[in-house]
Amino acid sequence: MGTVVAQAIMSLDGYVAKPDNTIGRSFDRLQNGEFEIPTPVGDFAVRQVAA
Amino acid sequence: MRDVILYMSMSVDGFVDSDREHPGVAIGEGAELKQWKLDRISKAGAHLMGRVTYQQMSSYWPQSDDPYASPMNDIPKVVFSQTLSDAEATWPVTQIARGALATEIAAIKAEPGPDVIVWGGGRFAGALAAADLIDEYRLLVQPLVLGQGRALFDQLPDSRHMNLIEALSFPNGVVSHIYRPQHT
Repeated sequence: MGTVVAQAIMSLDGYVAKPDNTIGRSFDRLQNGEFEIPTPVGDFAVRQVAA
Repeated sequence: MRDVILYMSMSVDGFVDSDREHPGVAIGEGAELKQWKLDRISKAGAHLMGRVTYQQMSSYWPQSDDPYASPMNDIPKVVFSQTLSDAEATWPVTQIARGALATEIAAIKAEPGPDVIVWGGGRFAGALAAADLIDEYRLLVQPLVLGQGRALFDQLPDSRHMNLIEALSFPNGVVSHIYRPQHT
């Protein structure tokens, strides 16, 4: 029988998300659809697009 | 200037008091953790607490023969209360702090002597945390999830970053997390 493991990033007072279940400024890019991450060299960028 | 150090038992989910169970007593302390605490409590310059905690402790420790009784009885106490009378503060030696939190803490920190310990309760400790009056947090995280209760940090006006000083686990599953607030 397998084991179900819960893994979470949590503040020391037990919070894992904002009240609306989003996970905060650092990860907004993961929830905002298409976005572009510029790179320091400037001649290319990383983009995420909707599947 | 001496430090204000908070000792607080806390559930995994950040509660320091609850109708379900109390994180300070739900888990057996064990000899190792008790000695760790005794070694530090015995060096305190004063015990700081709110009125309710003071009344609980002052009715218990003077009659106790537990190893904690000596440092609790012998080291001076400061109780923060607007309502406790001098006649009610019978636990030797007790000073009543009736002024504003920040003013009283500043005066205590300026006195000579070893660092002082804050015990609680949760509302008092939370008020000190919210006002950024605690220099070091010694959070004894219990292997216990409560789901609801009084949170230590629920009075904070905004998020706060901490520096982890030490994390130490004990055989009973308690983990001591020692943090100092970042002041950038």
